This record gives sequence, C-alpha cells and structure tokens, in this order.
Amino acid sequence: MASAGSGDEKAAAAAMITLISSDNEKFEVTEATATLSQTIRHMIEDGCTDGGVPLPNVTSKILARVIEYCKKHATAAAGEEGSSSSFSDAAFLEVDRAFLEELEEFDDAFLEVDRATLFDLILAANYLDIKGLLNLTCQKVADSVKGKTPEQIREMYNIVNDLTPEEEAEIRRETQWAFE
Amino acid sequence: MDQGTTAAPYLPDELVVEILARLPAKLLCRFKCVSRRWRRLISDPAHRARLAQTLSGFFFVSRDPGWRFIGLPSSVTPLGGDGGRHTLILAPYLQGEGDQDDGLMQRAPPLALLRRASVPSLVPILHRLQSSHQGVGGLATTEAQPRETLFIRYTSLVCCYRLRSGRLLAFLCVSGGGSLQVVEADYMIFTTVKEAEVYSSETGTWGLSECKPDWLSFCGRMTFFNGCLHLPIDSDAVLSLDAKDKSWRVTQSAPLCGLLPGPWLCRSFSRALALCEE
Repeated sequence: MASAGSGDEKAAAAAMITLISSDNEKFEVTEATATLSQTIRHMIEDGCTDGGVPLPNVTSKILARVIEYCKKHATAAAGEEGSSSSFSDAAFLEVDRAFLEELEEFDDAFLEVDRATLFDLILAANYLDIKGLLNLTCQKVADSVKGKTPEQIREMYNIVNDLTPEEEAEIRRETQWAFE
Repeated sequence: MDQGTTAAPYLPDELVVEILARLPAKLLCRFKCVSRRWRRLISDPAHRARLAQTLSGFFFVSRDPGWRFIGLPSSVTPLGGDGGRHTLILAPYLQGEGDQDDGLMQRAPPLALLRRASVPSLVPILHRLQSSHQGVGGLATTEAQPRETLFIRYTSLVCCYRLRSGRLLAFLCVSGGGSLQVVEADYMIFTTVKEAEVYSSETGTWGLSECKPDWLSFCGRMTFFNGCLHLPIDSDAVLSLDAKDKSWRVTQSAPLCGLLPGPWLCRSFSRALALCEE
C-alpha cells in the first residue's frame, strides 16, 4: 500500500508525476495525489516536472509517509467530487460521514510515529506546502505539550534552558497566574 | 526508535510558532520559561496576531461604549513581594459611570470580572466574562449573597477575611481550576479597621488578628494579592494583611489621588493597580 502503485482506474488517464527523494529514490504518483502539495502544484503549472521532481529536503522514508497521506486525502477529495452527482443527497451524506470517519481513523493511525519522525513530517509538510498535513502534525505536537510543565517540555524536546535563574524567576513572577 | 535519546530535529522559528499558535494563552505564558528562544517567540509582537492573547490590563464600565479596556505596560514590582520597592500603577478613573452601574471589570486571568456595587447595600453582582482562546467570549452571571462572607478554594490555601468595623465586609476569593480568581470587595465610605479574621484551609479555623497599627481607616476597594489582603488607607498608603502569619504592614505608595470614593485597588496578573478619580 505504501509503494507507489498506479492501480487507480479513474486516475489512470491522468498524468503521472515522479518525485525524487533526497536519497534518490523515485516515487511515481498521480497528479491528483501530487497536487495536494502546493509546491508541486506550482511546479506542474509551470511545466517543470518532466524528468521528475527532485525533493532534496525530504528523505525516502518521510516521502513515502507523505505520499501515503496525500493518496488517502486525494482519494477523499476525488470521492467527494465523483459521488455528488450519482447519489441522492441522503445517501451521499451517509457515504460522506462514513468516509470522514475512515479518514479520521487514518489520520490518527498516521500520527502514531516517534517524535523525530513527527518533526520530519512537519518539515516536509511545510516545505511541500501541504496545509492539511501541516495542520495535522502541528496539532499533534500541540496536543502533546498540553498540561506539561516547562521542565517536561525541555526534557521531551531536548531543549537547553539558557535562561538565567533570575530571568526565569522574573517570568514566573510576571506570569504567576499561569502556573496556578 | 528510542524517543528518550533521539534528539528532536531542529524546527525553524516559523514552525515552532505554528505549534505555539495552537496553544492556549495560559500555556504560552508558562512556556516562556522553557528557554530564551521560546520566550522570544512568544513575546515577539510580530507573532501576537497568531498566538492566543494574554491581555494585560483591565476592563471597566462606562456609558458609551459599554466596556473599555486599559492596556498596561508590563513588569512592575508587585505589592507584598520580599519587602522591596512597591509600585502602584495609577490609571485615571474615567468619566461616565452611572450611579447604579458603578463598577469596574477586572481582568483576573483568564477571566474578566465586572463588578456592580449598589451603595450602600454592598450587593456584589459579578459578571463573569470568560476569556476564550483569542479574546473575550460569553457572559455569565453569578450573584453573591449580600452580607455574607464567601470563600472559595484558592489552590491549597483558602483566604477569606472578615473585617470588623461594626459591619461585616465580604471579601471573595478565588478558586482553582481556572474559574473565578479574585474578587474584591469595596467600601464607599471611610471605615475603620479594628481587626480581621482570616480563615485558613490548612487548619480549617478562623484566626483573629488585631490591626496594628490600630484604628486605621480605609476607603475604596481592597484586593487580595501575593498572599496578602491590601486595603487603601487614607494617607497615600496601603495596609496589607498577610494571610499566613496574619501580620499587618503599611506600605507608602505614590499619592493615591482623590478621596471619595476612595482608590480602588485591584490586581491584574501579578501586579497591583490603583484606580483613582481625577
């Protein structure tokens, strides 16, 4: 499933785009999948995707995950367009709800990664300009720091506390209410 | 793999801000002391529009428009610190208050409080204004019972005062769990303080403390702050009663101009403020 196949019947006619990771691995994806990335969309519009799109900032490990995300969400987008005309409204809503639930489950499972991978995904989502993925990954980090103390944050993310004790005391005094 | 030892990849500032933008204001304040970089990112005015706001200042009521907000500069030595310098910020008490709606909305994070005191019955009606993620949200009302001393938990220590001067004064205080924080009581005529009772949640008892120096008169609004109850007294000074050891202290302040009604002491974040009539 993670490998870049081209079995999607509907998209078969669509153009395929080759993405090249920093470690020179090639991934062939449909245009619908690739254009979830605004960065790649612009490159396609400018007609400079012949011979593949080099992505020097993204490793094959991370790119595979990103493509996995894009495929799922591109299908979601295509599903919405395709089904709206062929189903009655009620049936459409039913399908829609089921699909959204499935998508949510996919996203949850997708985020089951270690912190380093999560950060790499954030970097890739930002570089490729994939709004949904950036939102998903940043929210995951934000959720993970809620209810934590500054000490726990430093420990979690290997942050060195370079504030002097005086500076830290001053911040704590000024924002005393936030520690209550 | 091993999360404990893997160094987290370095995220550029814009992406750290992207994450911070998804946190509530209280956490942002707390996380200022993670590191210099976090402090800088959270404090940077350039990011303010994206991050949850922590307003510093207070609301007050006026006729038109109904509510106003005075923003305040940051960093003032708080009252009742380690005996150091004491500073009060003096803000003009603006015109336009009605007789009935006399009041002040205080920002006691994460809430803004609006007080209405109908003189002389001292019935406080507290409008609780919940601060939402990016600003000010809905309005809720709580009505305190007249002439009753109310107390609510304040983390571990409950502070509740009964000031004796012939009449009972209510001082409402505080709760944990992000609901009500601090409510002041105010008195519109000069009132002599003889003694105070302090309730301690640690012992579950009331302790009586005679006012020293004795027979001080105060007027205006008292406030609870840094473990002390502060009352404006009539000589440009603030009388403070420590909740724990029940000691009294008089602190000279910048002239609290205007006498009637007396200065209003209130608290905003970790600062004491005085409002006076010009």
